[in-house]
Amino acid sequence: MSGLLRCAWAFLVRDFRIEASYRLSFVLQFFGLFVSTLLWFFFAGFVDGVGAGSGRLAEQTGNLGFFPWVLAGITVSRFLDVSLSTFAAQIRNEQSIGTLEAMLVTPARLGHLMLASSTWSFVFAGMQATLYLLFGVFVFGVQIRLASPFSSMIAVLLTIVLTIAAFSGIGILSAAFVLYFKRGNPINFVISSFSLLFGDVLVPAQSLPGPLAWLTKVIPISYATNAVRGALLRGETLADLLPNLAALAGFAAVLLPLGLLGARLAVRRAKQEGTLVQY
Amino acid sequence: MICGLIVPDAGRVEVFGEAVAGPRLSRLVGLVHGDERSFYWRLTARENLDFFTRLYGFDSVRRRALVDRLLDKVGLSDDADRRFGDFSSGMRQRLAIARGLLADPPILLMDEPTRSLDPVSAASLRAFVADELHRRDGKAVLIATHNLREAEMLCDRVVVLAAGRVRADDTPAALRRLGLGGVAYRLRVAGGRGVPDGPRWQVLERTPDGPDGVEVVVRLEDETALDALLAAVHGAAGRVIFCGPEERALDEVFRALVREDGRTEAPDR
Repeated sequence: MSGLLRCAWAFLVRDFRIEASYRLSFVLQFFGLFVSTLLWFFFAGFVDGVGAGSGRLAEQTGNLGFFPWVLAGITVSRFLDVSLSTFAAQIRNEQSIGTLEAMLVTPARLGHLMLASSTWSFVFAGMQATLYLLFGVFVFGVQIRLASPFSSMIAVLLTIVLTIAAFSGIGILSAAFVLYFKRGNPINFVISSFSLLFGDVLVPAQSLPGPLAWLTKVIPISYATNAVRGALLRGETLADLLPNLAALAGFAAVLLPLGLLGARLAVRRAKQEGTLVQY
Repeated sequence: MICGLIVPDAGRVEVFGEAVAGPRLSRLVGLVHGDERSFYWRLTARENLDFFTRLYGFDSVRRRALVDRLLDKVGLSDDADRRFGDFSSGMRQRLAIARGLLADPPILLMDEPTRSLDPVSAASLRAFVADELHRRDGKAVLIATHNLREAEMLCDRVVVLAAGRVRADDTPAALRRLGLGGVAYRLRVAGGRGVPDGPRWQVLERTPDGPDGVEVVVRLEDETALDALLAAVHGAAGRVIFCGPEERALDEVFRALVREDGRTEAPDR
């Protein structure tokens, strides 16, 4: 574990230095977040206006209003995006800039390098998610309802960790694809799109036609968005959120070992075929 | 394969007579890339080394001291806080050497170390490898190169690999002789009957008779046959003007070895 943490810190320092060297881009990313939140705010106002008459929108968002509801969704989806894409992207990036081989000849384990290389992406996603919420609350007036500040924060953190664990399994599998086939996993795009569409992230599940609404139950992100909305917007306690957290833990228990196993097989084959550092 | 990035189908990597693999191998063999892209161009030399030192697991105190010492060793102390992207090719290669030395390995594996260097930088780097790394620090330096002139200049021992097989393994001098099939001498002989045939030598090349006599390349059975050869020349009323060992350039030897494999191009390593 200490080896993994040491590697994670090494990558975090490295990536912060590289990101900070692109100063304008670094600052613009945060400005982009604000603009994105503003966009959703106005879009939500439009959706609320259209749906207000029928009362169906209030029912579909659990009386939260569309903007708070979707803000929680896009906050969680940052972790979905990063978990699915960052491992493969990092491997691909190190391959293409030529630094992968130099890292692989250090005593650090390949598994640690694969996991740790994404540390900055997760930290940055955490910063983005926090800023989304802060903009939402302090600029756009979203009302936060917490059962208790401490337990609600624990619930949110636990949800994020389990979401990352569940989707990282698929993300690591995608990195294994890159290592072996030298191409990204095409399934990632499908999973990401399905999650955003049917995972209660941007579109309320109750607004979907019957059979499609059922899909929500087998998509892990729906449990994450539900838990975060419960913890931050509905004032639900840790006990109330337990079913969502248990479902996420179940997905993580299956997907993460699957991803790690796939990565191990891919690395073994790539080493046998001498293609580990090719791209 | 030596660095553990490729698993061999058969055989094993032995270092100092012992089979080694995994993290222990990376502490015994330091890899020096010839590829300039193996660093982060937006980071400084110090930041680059700091990152790789962290992957080796050094604590912060040792890390700083080590990075400073290695930058000093390769002559980059004054440029430590410049971005790698602003470095010349020679400086980049020196930083690659510093990285290869992070674990203070007894063996350095250098991949085409002067591939992208101008002649002045290449000469300077060769001198650094021979004087500083090999003679002073006692490192065994294993160089993978297609530049056989460089191999002749730097190496005590040369292994020729062709089509995945070891085709020759000897000192550069012995390999140069190998191009002639054994011990060979070049003689210039004036007068008499030149160089007569004999049972212990074979004339490989002969120039036409000229005012300075005839010049021949003779392959001997062994070194002791030289006396018999010279005696035979004297016996034939010839006068030896020049006699010296004959060798072929390494690239000529290499081409001959590759031709034996039926190839027309240099093999990939």
